[in-house]
Amino acid sequence: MPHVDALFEACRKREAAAAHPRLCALLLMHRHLPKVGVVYLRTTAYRTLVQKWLGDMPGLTGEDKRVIMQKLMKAVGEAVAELKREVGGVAAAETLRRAVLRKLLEELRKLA
Amino acid sequence: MTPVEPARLKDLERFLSGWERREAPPPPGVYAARAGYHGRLVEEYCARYHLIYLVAVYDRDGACRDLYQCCFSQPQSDAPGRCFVFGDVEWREELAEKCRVETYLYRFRDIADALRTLLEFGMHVKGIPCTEFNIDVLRATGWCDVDPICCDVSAVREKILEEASAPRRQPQAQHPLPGAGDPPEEPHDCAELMRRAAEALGIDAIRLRRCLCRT
Repeated sequence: MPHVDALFEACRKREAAAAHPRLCALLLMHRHLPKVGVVYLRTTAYRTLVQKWLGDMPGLTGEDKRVIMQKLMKAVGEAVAELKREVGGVAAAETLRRAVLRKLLEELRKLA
Repeated sequence: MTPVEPARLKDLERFLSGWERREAPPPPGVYAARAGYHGRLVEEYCARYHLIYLVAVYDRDGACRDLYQCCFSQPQSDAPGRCFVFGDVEWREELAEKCRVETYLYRFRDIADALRTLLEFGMHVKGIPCTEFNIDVLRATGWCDVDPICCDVSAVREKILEEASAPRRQPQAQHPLPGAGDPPEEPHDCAELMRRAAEALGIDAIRLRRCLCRT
């Protein structure tokens, strides 16, 4: 498992998720992509996942959840649109996982 | 839709010029990157394309006559293996019935060169992210220094956590609650700041102070 998953816990902090929505959205996508099979690329497929993730975040008010949800879903939407251009609307989970990982690394390089 | 992306033919040809080609499965060796494809997807891929393996043969003293056969011999004392392999999927016997396979071999006198070549092929020709490579390969090739993110994300993690805790403190420091007890030197600081600002701007210091300091 790539070491980038070590960052996932950092994204559980409200301020981190709000300040780095693209990074956190990509981490979330990368972590939850299936290991095998085919994935249909749709933004809505990640909505429940983001909601559940926010639900697990400690100390969030309803307003916090609304704002972070909006930011994360916007970032997910942008990432999905980019991935659709790169790999198409339907892709093997492995191909997609690698494409997400590439984007994630780009994002991390900007922050490093 | 192609389940796995093949390398572009032009890139492949350019990269592999000078390599010894065999229509045979890869010999035993140490895989440079993790294998990640599901069996069914490999079969789908095989229906369209050849499986391609690159084998970097570490032959320090040039004693290997047959590079392919050399991979079956004992590794040299200063290396974990004789041959280092890069391919989309770790080779297994049942693939021989379903897939056409090509293996490319090249002799290397230096182990770091051998691994760097596989790394470059994987990243630049196949477009595989660096984190897919074994950490030992990344370290041995010096790639961790070139792109530290490939090997360690702790610096970014700390930065994010630090940023996450900073904004909670800042608003309190910048906007103290009324009557919460200003530091005793602040009125003086404010007046001094206003005097300097007024001088620089060429305006009335008292009016500026009334506007901004509300004193």
